Amino acid sequence: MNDRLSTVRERIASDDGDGRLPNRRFVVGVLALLVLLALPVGTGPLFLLKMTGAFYFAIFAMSWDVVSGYTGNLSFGHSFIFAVGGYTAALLTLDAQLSPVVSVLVGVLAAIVAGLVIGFPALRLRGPYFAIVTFLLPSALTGLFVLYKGTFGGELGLPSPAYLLDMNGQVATITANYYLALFVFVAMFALLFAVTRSRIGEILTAIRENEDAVASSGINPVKYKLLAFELSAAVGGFGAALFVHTPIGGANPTQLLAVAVSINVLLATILGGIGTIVGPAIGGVVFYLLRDSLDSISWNIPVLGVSFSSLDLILFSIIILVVIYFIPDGIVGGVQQTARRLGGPDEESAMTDGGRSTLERILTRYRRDLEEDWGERNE
Amino acid sequence: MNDNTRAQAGDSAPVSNGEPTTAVGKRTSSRTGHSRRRFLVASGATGAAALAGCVGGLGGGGDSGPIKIGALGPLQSSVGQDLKAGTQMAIDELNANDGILGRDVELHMADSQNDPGVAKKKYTELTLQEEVDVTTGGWLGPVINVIMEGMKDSKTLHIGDAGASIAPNDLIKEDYETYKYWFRIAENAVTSAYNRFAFIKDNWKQHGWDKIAVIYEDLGYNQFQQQYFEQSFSDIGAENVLSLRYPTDTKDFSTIFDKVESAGADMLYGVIAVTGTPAVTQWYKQQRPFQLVGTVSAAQQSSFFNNVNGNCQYFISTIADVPGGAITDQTVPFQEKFKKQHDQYPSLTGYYGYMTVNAFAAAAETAGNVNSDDLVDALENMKKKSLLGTLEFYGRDNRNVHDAIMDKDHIYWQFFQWQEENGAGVQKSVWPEDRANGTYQTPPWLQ
Amino acid sequence: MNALILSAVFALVSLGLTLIFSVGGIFNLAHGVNVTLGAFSAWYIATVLGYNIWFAAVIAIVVPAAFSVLLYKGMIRRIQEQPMTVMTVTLLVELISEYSIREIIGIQSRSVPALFGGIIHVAGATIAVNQAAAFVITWALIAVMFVVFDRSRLGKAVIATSMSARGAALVGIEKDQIQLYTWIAAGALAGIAGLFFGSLRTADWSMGMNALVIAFPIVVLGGMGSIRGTLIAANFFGFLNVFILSYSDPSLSKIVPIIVLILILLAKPQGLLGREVGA
Repeated sequence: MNDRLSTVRERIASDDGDGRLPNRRFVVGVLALLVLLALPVGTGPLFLLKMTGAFYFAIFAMSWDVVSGYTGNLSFGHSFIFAVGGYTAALLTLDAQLSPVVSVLVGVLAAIVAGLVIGFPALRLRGPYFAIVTFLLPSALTGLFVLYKGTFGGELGLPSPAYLLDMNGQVATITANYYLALFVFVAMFALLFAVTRSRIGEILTAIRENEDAVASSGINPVKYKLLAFELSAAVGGFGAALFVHTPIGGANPTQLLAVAVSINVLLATILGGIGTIVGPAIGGVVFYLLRDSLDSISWNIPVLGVSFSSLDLILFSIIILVVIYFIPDGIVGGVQQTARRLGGPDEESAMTDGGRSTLERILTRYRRDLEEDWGERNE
Repeated sequence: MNDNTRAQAGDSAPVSNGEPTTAVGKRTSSRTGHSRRRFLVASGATGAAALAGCVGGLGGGGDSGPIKIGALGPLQSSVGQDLKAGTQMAIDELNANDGILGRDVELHMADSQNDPGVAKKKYTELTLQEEVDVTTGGWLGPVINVIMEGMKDSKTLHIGDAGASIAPNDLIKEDYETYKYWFRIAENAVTSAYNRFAFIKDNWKQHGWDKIAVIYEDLGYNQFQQQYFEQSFSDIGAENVLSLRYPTDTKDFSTIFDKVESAGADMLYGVIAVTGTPAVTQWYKQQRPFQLVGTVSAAQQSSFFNNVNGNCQYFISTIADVPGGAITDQTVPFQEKFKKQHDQYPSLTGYYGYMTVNAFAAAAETAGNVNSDDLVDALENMKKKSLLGTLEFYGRDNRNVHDAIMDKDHIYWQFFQWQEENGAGVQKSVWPEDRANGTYQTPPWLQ
Repeated sequence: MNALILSAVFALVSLGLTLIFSVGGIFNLAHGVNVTLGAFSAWYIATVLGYNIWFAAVIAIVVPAAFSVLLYKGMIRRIQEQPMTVMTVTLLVELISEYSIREIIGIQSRSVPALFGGIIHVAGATIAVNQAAAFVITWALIAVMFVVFDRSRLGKAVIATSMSARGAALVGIEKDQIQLYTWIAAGALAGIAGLFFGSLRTADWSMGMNALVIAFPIVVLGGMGSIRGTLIAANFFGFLNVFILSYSDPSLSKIVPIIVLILILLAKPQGLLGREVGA
């Protein structure tokens, strides 16, 4: 334990070989946390409600990043995990009359099992095949929910289970749930950050780069990849199980199972920076809030006669396209790069990642995988 | 959702761990606090909770300033767009005549995106932040759940525009004081099922539909209808030869039609509101040997005939009213005015938006204020002329409490047929007789 | 009968995907746009402007092909060495395009006029002439493709490139040109499929995405890069679907194909006939 902690500390301290940078990052992080803690003072319950939604979405995004950013297998159907966790918890609270706390815990367990469902095929299927299978899993689950709509509510979803925190009055309830969401968000972030910056994270990154090399050094990559899947499932399932017990969330296909959920998580993480945990944390919150605020703009675009707000998905997709082309590291990565550059000319730290972005590295590995599968290919 | 499986919103709160609790069934008439079970998890809940309790009240902004109507609908489709249009039209007319109680009326339109998460935020915004005096719209089941959930705190009057779910009615029966603010001027699953089967009952004999097949798109809203249909066929002479639910992503109905044909059906009734457009066009183009009757939401639009290049002729469908159908003396002028402003005749929510505002206005005038509790009383006692007929709400003794009465003396849906006239498509109402403005035309291939 | 028609039209969509993959190693998630463009170009020309449907059919081929060329040359060629980036980029293009179409056209479904009107009686069943026409035309196109790959120089060039671009280059075949041809072909085929979807069913803004959801499993099941595999898989799914609708609970028609696909992939991760290209 001590060993792992000190590794984490060392990693943080020695990141980029520069003593200044990490402190700066820490300060920024702490400041942000303080602002978030004090948020209810300056804003109203509506904004807190939105922030609550944003936190849970960011938790989903971070969970996605553990799989897609660290095992290098892009998942196109992570909503499968969220739905299993959320629906299990909701069903237990509603039908089995369990306390929400217990339901949440069982929901996490269910999600971990679901993680195996995704994990095992992942070990056999390469990138794009894995992507397609993961894409189809939520559809299968939706089909199941519709088939047994008496139990699962079909396309309408389940009624709202009791809240975890239910105070006297709407504003108090919203505020309490905000703090819960903030707390869980920070906790999940800390957990994932610690794991991915620890030795486990190093091994995962190494596996992502070159699995065979890792295998030949005596470490079993299968074990670590499965761990990543389970961790992702646990975090995602936990977030979802809590989510359905809040004022902003519910166990229904639109919020937990829709293709849009899986795609949004992907978009937000790429926007923020895949494979960093920080990326989806910030990207998730920003993506959610931005889309929400775009929604409220009632400006009409003159020539087309459509309202601006209905174009928000289009707008976001265009933005992310631009990001992919010009800032493959995502916004967080881009900021770091800029900060690095601004940090001064005397930074001569060796770039252990070869100077390329995570996204580039993931896809280079895919190329290699495909080449292995398909024989000599386009060089 | 059908009432056999689950009731909605907060009726099954589990036991907490050791904290003093109050039973869920306890009613309080206090405006602000409710007795509810508490669940305290280790939390950072702080003194900000001291803000508790002041919100909710009797809903609404107060006694002066503009009266605000909050409409909630999916703006990416005509459901939301027409709701907005109809509501705004009514509001403009009111404002041209002194408003309500001498105050100006304002529309606060919110896009629900048919997404319960979004709807939750929008509803909170309307009731908590903008403090509207009434909410309208809703449309989708999960959104209705959101509204019922929110109503517990907001105590804001809601006059809804659809959503088959009868869960709100159950909630009102269970806890009148909390949920009495729900009203609906649209059909629900029960009243619509009665109306639809009445058409079959009135018409099967004269058209020779001795064998009737029914198909249902697999969505929750029609489960009651299926049960009701299946048990009601024994009351009439026609035989229900096939009863089939099909998945909602079906775009090819050929196989299903083959099954209907092998069952020997004279008529196919389709509960196909959301997914039915390809079924209609394929039926027409393949000239299947049975009459097609059913509910297709898109077919209610006046633009439908052109959209499908006329491949819907002879299809009999359901509608609140056809263009030109003068149910009351308000109806046609409204239709024409709408057409003038928006280039097409109103669809369902266009009527509902308009009717809702006027019902609210009438209730306010009766009550003399916009206090939610007084408005509820006024609406419960209302009996007034509206676009689609006499508007009156079911009482507390009826299972459809607070929904608009649906029968031939009040509001009642019609069945119409798409027909071609002078090269253009028209919607001709064929039932009920007192509202019909056309006669049934047999498809040429069935003659 | 229905199954054969359906399978063939879906096969047209799937073939484009397989071709693009086999030659370039690219997963084109924007392929659905070709379908939607084909359908709505035809609709616009034939219904809004009122021209002859056959002329509209030509447009339905040209527009998606042009789109594909633009997409390939403008965006994909630059990043084609990075498959996952391509996947993400094409996904975004798909989203942007289809949602833009939704804004322009609206969410109402439209009908594309049939190529032929009327009905005929075949083997005791009544079908619309248009359905029969779709059947004949799509299978004819598929046959043509087989011939092209087997006999023509172009076809052999494609096969060569798919196996080894460097080797092909050594004999004077330029990969970039071959790729361009496959993208054009994919766009054209999908456009025709869109035309048929629009007249046999309806055309709506999300039809491309919906087609992809079925086409990709077909391609994956058949094995990326295998034309024969794609055809077998298309028919397999087509018949499976009709079977479920006719003889068992229709509600299963969503779940069963997915489970079947997953099981087969677990057994054979390369799909049924993974790897080979051509007849």
